[in-house]
This record gives sequence, structure tokens and C-alpha cells, in this order.
Amino acid sequence: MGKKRKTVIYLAALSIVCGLTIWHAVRWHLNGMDLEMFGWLQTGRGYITVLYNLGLMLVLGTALGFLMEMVTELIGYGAGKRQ
Amino acid sequence: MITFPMLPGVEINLCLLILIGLGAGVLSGFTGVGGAFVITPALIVLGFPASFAVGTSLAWVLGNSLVGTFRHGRLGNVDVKLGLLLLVAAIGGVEVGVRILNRVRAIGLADTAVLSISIFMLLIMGIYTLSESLMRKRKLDEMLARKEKLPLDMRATFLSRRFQGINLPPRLRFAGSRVTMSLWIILAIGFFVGLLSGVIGVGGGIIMVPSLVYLVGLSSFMAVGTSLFQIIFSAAYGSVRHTASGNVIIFAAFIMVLASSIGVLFGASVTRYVRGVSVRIILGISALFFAVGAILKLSSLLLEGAVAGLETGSLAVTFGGLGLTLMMIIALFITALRYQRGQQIPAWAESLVTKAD
Repeated sequence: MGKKRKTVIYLAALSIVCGLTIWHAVRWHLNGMDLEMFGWLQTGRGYITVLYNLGLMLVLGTALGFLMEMVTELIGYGAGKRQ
Repeated sequence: MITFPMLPGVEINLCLLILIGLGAGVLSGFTGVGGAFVITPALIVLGFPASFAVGTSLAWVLGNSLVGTFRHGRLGNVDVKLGLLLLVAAIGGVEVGVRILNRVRAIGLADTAVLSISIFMLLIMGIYTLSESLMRKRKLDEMLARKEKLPLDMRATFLSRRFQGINLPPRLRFAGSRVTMSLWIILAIGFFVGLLSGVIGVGGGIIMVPSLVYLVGLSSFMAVGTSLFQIIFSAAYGSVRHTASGNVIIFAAFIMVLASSIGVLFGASVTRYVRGVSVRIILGISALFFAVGAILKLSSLLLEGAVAGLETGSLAVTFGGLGLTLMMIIALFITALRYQRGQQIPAWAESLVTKAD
């Protein structure tokens, strides 16, 4: 498989990950699910909610980081190591 | 305009949210600061309650620094070993700083004490960074006049040479940044930066980058990348430490991260076209603007709102500073592109830019 084709496949996969994460966060945010999600917890609800939000941000940030690198690579503006 | 279920009755301007994310992203990618010092007041101005603004901006810092670290990593600007060691010490420092802050808060001095320390630190750091980098620029201009080859960045400073010379075992070699230093000195520097971050309540990048340059002896680019790398973890830790009540509007943080991912990529990429002195000049200017904003805020607190407009002035200076530094980064990029294409650029700008390798 050519390098360009591989990059396009990775790009599509990363776009799906980003899209699903955003869709999940927006949908649950709009229907109030994010507030009810950890309602069953007796203690530590605040920490779990923060960790859940951080997890979402971690997934989006990582996927977005890879995605942006691949997009810039594909359009010929990829970063080379400084000598 | 968009609304959030967690904030009934509050309408937020989506375009402004995107613009702020984009701007803070560029500054963060270029100078290695987390950017929470701009995002938090910006969110408050947009209508977020303070507790939600802090939590959301910390979540944004996490996503934004992740994207920035990818680009700086590709540029070879991240020293993972050094970043992790600094992080461990910085977290210890943050804990001590937060405890000191709580003690100060208990005697009712928190706001004025914190602002006074912030102003003092930022003024020292901003004035030192700016004067050192302007002197360095003058030297580069002289070298240019003698037609000598300009270095990409300065390496060791007087202080960093002294610190590197301390022979306290174990001494560690950091291959990425080409620095050898005692583990204890690294931990002490990380602890000191963490302590200040804990007391002042900022992410630490604005203190970490100059400390890495002037105390450890890293190049400005390496300091920017390594600072952003350690901010990923310190922002995550700060989120858990400060926002355990769950005050994160992840939807708003996502919108800003999507915008800032373009900004941070641009900012990080511009470092490829400039000399280290340009990064330090912009960092010094940002710190001074931040300090002036804090002075106005402190005056407003001390005068208990007797003088109208001080609070607004503080915000205007913070955002004006962001706007100005953004324009300077864009101007540097355009100048560097012209220089690379062999077009005419002003003589004074030649020592600021370089041809990307």
C-alpha cells in the first residue's frame, strides 16, 4: 500500500474518532445525560465526572494532534526535525 | 449564540469562543505557555461563572497542549525525560503552593497576596526576558553587520552554566536538549516553578519557559516544546485538584480546542522560521502585559471599586496584549516567508528570522 493511501486511511479513521467524540459530548451535553450519568454514585461523583471529561479531552486532543499532523503532511506542510 | 444546559439563561457568542480559542492557541504554540491566563478571564467576560471558567479553561489547556506537543515533538523540540522529571517536582511544588494559598486565604488575604506575588514575579520575569532578548538581538545585529553566521539560538546563560557546573550526584544527561545537570537541581527548579504556579494559580508555562532557558540552559525552542509537554500533565492534575466539583463545560472546551488546534499548529510551526530571540521577545511582552493587567486588577481590589473602569482596563490590557502578540507572531511569519524567498525585509528584522531547515 502506498504511503499516501495509508495516510488517507489513518486520516479517515482519526476523523471518525474525532467526530464520534464530539458527537457523544455534544449529544449528552444537550440532553443533560452528562449530569445524570454518575448520579448513582454515593461518593466521589465530582472526581469521576472530572476524570470522564478529561478522558474525553484526552481522546479528542490526541486524535486531533495526529489528525492535524497527517493533514499538514498530506498537503505538504509537514514538520521536519530541526537540525 | 449557543446555550449550555449546565448554565441556564446564559448565552455565549460562538464566534467569540472560536476566536479566543484560535488566538490563545497561536500564543501557546509559539511561546509554550498554557494559555489559561487568557482563556479564564475571556470565558468570564463571555458570561461563564468563575468556577466554570476555571474548570473549562483547564480542560482546554489539556487538549490544546496535546495538539501543540505533537507538532513540537515532530520538530524535535520536546525533551521527554527532562519534562517528566520537572513535572514530578512541579506537582510537589503545586501541592505546597496550594497549601500556602489556603493558609493565606484563611487569614483573608488571598486575592491581594496572590496578585502581589503574580505581579512581582511577572514583572521580574518579563523585564529580564525582554531586556536580555533585546540585548541579544543587538549582538546579533552587530554580528550581521560583520557578515558573521548567526546562531539559531543562544545556549548556556551565566546562571545555567553555574547550575550545570554543580557536581551533585547523580548527574543526568538529557540527550534531547544536550544538557548535563544534577538531578537535584532539576527537581529544585521544577519544585520552584510548581510552587509559584500553585500560589499564583496559573498553569506554569509562563514561568517554566524562561526558567528552562535561563536556569537549565535549553534553547528557546526546546523550552517551548518541553513546557507544553509537561503542561499536558500539570493541566490534567490541576483539573482534578481544582475542579473536583465537576465544573467543566466540556462542550465549550471542545469548541475552543477545535479552533485552537489550528492556532497552536500555526504557532508551533512559526518557531521553525524564527530565531530563539524572537520567541523570548514575544514571551517577555506577553508577561509584561499580563503583569499590567494584574496591577490594574489589584488596584481595583485595593480601592474596592472606588475608581471606575479599573476592572475593565485590566481585561482590556490582557486582551490587548493577546491581540498585539498575535499580530507580532503573524508579522514575524510573513517576514520570515519573505526572507526565505529572497525578498527584501527590513534590516532590523534579519536577526529575528531564519530560513527553515
